[in-house]
Order: sequence, then C-alpha cells, then structure tokens
Amino acid sequence: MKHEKGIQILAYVKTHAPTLNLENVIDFPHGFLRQVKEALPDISDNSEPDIFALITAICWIGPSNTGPLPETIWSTIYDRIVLSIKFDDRIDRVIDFVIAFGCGKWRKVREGTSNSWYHIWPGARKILADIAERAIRKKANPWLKNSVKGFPDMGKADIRHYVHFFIEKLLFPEFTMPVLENESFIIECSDQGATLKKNREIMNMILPGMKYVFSANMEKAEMEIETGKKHISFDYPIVITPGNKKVYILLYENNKKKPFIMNQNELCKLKGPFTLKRWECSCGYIHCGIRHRLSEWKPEIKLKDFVYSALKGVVKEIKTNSFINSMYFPDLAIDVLPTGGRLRFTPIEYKKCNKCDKEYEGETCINEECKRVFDPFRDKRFSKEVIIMLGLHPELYILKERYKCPVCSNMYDIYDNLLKNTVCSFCNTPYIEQSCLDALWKNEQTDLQKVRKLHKILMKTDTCPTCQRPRGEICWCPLGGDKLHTRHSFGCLPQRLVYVYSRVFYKIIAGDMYPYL
Amino acid sequence: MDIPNSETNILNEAFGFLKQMELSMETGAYALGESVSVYMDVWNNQDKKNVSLLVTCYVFGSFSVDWNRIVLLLSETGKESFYFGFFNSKGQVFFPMVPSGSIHITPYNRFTSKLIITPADTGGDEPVDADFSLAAKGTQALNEPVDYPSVDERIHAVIIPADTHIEVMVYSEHRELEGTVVGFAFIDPDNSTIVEQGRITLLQDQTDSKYVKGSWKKRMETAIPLVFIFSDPEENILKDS
Repeated sequence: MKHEKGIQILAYVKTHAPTLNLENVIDFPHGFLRQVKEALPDISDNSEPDIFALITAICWIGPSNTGPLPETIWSTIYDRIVLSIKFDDRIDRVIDFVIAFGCGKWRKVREGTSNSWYHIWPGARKILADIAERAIRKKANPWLKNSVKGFPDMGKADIRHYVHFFIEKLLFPEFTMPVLENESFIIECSDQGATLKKNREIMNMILPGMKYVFSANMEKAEMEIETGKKHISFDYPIVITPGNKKVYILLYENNKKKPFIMNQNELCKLKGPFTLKRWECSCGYIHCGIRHRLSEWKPEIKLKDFVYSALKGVVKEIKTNSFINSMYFPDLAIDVLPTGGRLRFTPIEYKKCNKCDKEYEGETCINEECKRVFDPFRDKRFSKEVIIMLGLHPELYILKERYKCPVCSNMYDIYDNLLKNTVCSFCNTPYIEQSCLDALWKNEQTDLQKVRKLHKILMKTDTCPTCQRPRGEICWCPLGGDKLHTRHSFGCLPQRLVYVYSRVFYKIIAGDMYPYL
Repeated sequence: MDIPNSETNILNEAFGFLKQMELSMETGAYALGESVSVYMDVWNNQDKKNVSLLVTCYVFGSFSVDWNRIVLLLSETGKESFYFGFFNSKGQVFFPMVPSGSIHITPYNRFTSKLIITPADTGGDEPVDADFSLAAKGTQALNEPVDYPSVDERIHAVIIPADTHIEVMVYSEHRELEGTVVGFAFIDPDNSTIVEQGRITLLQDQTDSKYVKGSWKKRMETAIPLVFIFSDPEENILKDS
C-alpha cells in the first residue's frame, strides 16, 4: 500500500474515529472498519483488504499527533500476521496484533513519556487493561465470591488497581540484579515469613502464602544451608514460599522437583558472582515463563483468551488449583480491595460427623437433622487445602497447632488426651506430680518435645503410684483406643507439628462480638 | 532491565514523569523508565459528567518505596479548583470524581508525617495566644526543626517550631536556583483543603555563600492533623496567601 494512502487513512481516523473502548474494538471489523471503507472507497477497493484493516487499526489504536505511520511498523506487524493467520481470518484478528505490538511485542520499546510510535502506545495498553478488567469482573471475581468466604464485591476502580500491576508484569516479566564477587543473596526464615537480603540490605519481605520466584544467569550453583551445601540447578526458576514458621524452597534437579524446607531462624546463602533474575509474576507456576509473558504469546491463540488464561488460570472453568497458578492470585495474596485482608491458599481444618458423615467447619455439624456438637473423642478432624481470606475484622479463620495421627490421620490437639494418659482412671490421681513435670520440661521448647518426654516417663510407669493398679494404654490420638492405635509403638505421637486454619464463628452479646469456640 | 538500587532514584524518576506526562481523556498516559513505569488510567463515571483517574507507579523488581514522599495535585486548566491525591503503599493514587476536560497533574514533595499545630500545654482548657508548639501525631514527635529534602534532593524544607510562630525555611546548595520560588502548603488530607500556604523566594544566603535560602513565618493554630507539602521550584501553582 502506498505511503500516501496511509496518510489519508490516518487523517480520516483522527477526525472520525469512535471512542477507543473495548466494545468498539471488538466490533471493529463490522463497525469502524466498515465506516472507513465506505468513506475512503478509492483506497479500500483494492486487493489488500487485510493491509487496509491493519493500517486502519494501527492509526486508531496507535499514538495520536505523532506524524505519519512509519511503513516499518505496519510491515513488521503484517509479516507476523501472514506467518500465523490464514487469509480469511486476518481482518478479524488484526486488532490482536496491533494491541500486542503497541504493548511492546516484537520490538524493544523506548523509555520516556513521549507519545510516539516507538514507545508503548497508551491506547493499546488501555485496551489490554480493558480486556483484563473484563476477565476479572466476569470470570475470576464471581468465582472467588462463590468459593472464598468473605471475598468482597469489587467496584470498577478496585479491579483497575489490580489490572495495571497485571499488565506491567505481562509486559516486563523479568528484572536482573547483579550479585558481585563478595556479595551474597540470602534467604532468612522468620516467624513472619521469608526475608530476602543482598548482603545485609533487606530487599523483600515475603509473607506466608506469598511467593518469590527467581532464576540466575548460570546453570548450577551451590547454596549454603545450615547443614552444609546444596547443589541447585537453574534449569527452572526457584520458588520461595513461606509457610507458617517455615520456608519451602522449590528446586529442580534433573527436571524433578526437589523441595526443601527451612526452619525458623535458619538462613541459606547464594554467593556471588552471579546475576539474579527476579520474576515479576510470583505465581510459581512451572509454565509461568510461557503463559504469563506477552513476549511468549502465540498469535494462533486469541489475545483475549491468552489474557483470560493468565488471569484466571488455564482451565476453562476456574478451579482452585489452576487459580492459584494465575497472575491474579499473587496480587490478592498481598491485599484484597476494597475491604483489606488477603487471600491465602492453605490447609484448613474440617470435621467429619461420626453420626451422619457430613464434613463441616466450625463446632457443629451443618446437617440440619443432625446438628451434633463436635467431640474430639468421636469425630475426626482432617485438613483440606483451600483459598481463604485472612486479615479481616473479625477474622474468619485462626491458626491452630495440630498433630496428624500416624494411624488414622486424625488431626488432633496434643492436649486432647493429656488427662486420660496422665491420670489414673481408678483413683483420679496424676501419675506424675506437677513439680516433677515442671522439672522434666525445663529444657523443652515445644509442646511435642514436652509430650515426648512425658511419654517416655509414662512408659516406665506400669502401675499407678497411689493405688498400684495397672496403668491404662497410652494413646495421644483422641480417637485411639482400638487395637490399631494401641499397637503403635509411640502412642500415635507424630513426628512434627502442623499448622491449620480453623473457622471461627461469632456470637453477639450485648452488641459485642465474641468468638464462638 | 535491572532491579533499581535506590529509593531516591525511583522516586526521582517517577516524580519527573508525573511532572511531564500529558493526560489524554481517551487513552490515559503512559511513561516507561529504568526503574518505574507510570500509567494514568482514566474512565467515564456513570454520571457521564465526571471521570475517574487512577495513577499507578509500578516499581520494577518489587523494590519497596515510601510513596508518602509525593502528593499529587490535580487542577482543572483555567479554574481554581484542585484536588489532592495521596499514594497508597503500592504506589497508586485514585481520584474518583474528576471533571471531564483539560486537567493538569503536579507532583509535590510531601512531609512524611501528619502534623498537629496546637497551643502548648498551658495547664488549662483555654487557648492562649502566645506560646505555640508543633507536635506530630503518630510515630514522629516533632519538637525541634526537621529538615526534609525534596525527592530530587536539590532543595530542603525545614519546619521550625518557634514559641509563637511556625517558620518554614527552604534552602538549597544549588545556587543556580537563586530567584526561584518554592510554593508550600499545610493541607487537611481529609477534605483536600489548604489550611495555610505560602511562597518562598530563594535568595543568596548572607551568612554562607554556599546556599540560597528563604523563609516564611506565621502564627498558626489547628487541632486537625495536617500534611506539609512543597513544590519543585519550577512547578509552583500554589497561590500567594
């Protein structure tokens, strides 16, 4: 197409273009394009309708008042269209290519505030933002509202707050930070999450449930950890996920997942020199590098579908496991507008009614015909990983310490069976006096350590020191008592503590709210 | 792109963009820098008369920045009305009701804490004319002069709590700024109103030739927490009080 014709199209578009919004852009082939064709019959009546549509779209979405459209721009986009889209579909798809190019695909954009062909085009960015807003408003948020207790109604402004973070991550997915010869990249595990430092300078604080993803400009490295050195490979990004008083580091060795856990107050070090590549999207999804970057968008997929998939997860109907790998979830894990609070994917405690088999949160069976109050000696506790809202006032969930029975998988409170195990069932006298217990537990830090010590002493006590009758079987799981449990060598004491969130319900007394425990 | 290595660089770059960007009511505005990008997103409100404006400063590499150091002043071209916008911790400012038309955004340097200017404790309830003091509400107690640098660190504003007056002194080591005017204001952040404002002309310091400086003094009394802001010399749209 001749340069002069491009100038004519631009002149027409400048004076007659409809408002640049998503509805008009979607309707482009049947709306504005048709209007331009009718207005400029001499130009449009040729054998290159796809080029005509492309130039019209570029003139409309591209920057205004910046002079004629350079031929290199439309020819670059056109070459991409020809490569990936068959002729009959081109006119319907030109808008996708123009938006992607305007946002920096297939080129290196210039920095600064100028509104030129060589910078990011604000119009293209706006339409991309509109697509993202629609994905959140129509797909992600309705699902969250149905699936996550306490998830608020978001207005347009709230959604737009997230949209711009999403787009910047999509456009500029990776940043580098040199770690020099005498420097180190340090990961510290605290009770608040993970602290990332370059030498002594704090770079980031990652709260439990959030993630930090990075790779490096080398294939392999040695990571110094508390117990020595760990060889890590950078074939895949490394994902740091703080949990409750632990930090999970997901590494890959020979294409296999090799997670390792840091405990509280431990740190690990990566010594320089190397260049750390920080991934802006902190979803931690193994395919993030190809699904959450505009540079990796394959034109065979519609741009709208690509954006929707990045924002809500890859499956058509949103599921929890796909949503937590989306680009939207990490931002909601920081804060949720407009109410505050944040999302977290975490184990929460459920109970299974021994009478009707119904699973429920809280303290009472939700079966209207049952409504039995939870009893730890009868009903089983277990956990499911779900998305919950934290940080609300009042809180919907509180963190609890539980131990998983190695026999029946019941999640129990270690003190559930304390009385039964330590007091004689015949004379009601404790096997061990309180002063002895205090001395016994002097150096023990955790409840599990205390109970282990107590267990050892109890095992040496065959009879009640007061009434001399034989001691009962020791079992720490409150559902114990059967042969399976009693056969367990260590009274069903598990190896480690686990944290679960438990639902809190409130009752109002004289206008004040009290947790119903 | 490299992860930015200094908060000052980030704020400086964002401040520069916010001064230069021209907002289009149709497509907004976008600026891309080494360490930060700024996007002004604008959309029509349901009343069709006003628009909403969301300014997002996105820091690459998730570097944390104290966005409290900048305040945006939004004004309509040719009109005296204006709106102040305060950044949230993620670098975003939202103006929900902006008259559709030609508007101008000016960034201002902001004092990081809210100030309360009240009569000093006199032991009674009645206010006393003299003996004013300046105290900060929140974490920072202010009972002696505080020096606050602009985002680009070229000029410094000092608030000096005196017995009967508040003194604002502005100085700079950049002597080329001699003769330029710095606007400042004490604003009520809850309703975007200016409680007190003034302008200071930077002149050669008679005692130390390294500096240009100027000052302003006034008796002030208010019980509401105020925010102190001051302009870059070339970006002064506050009026003389």
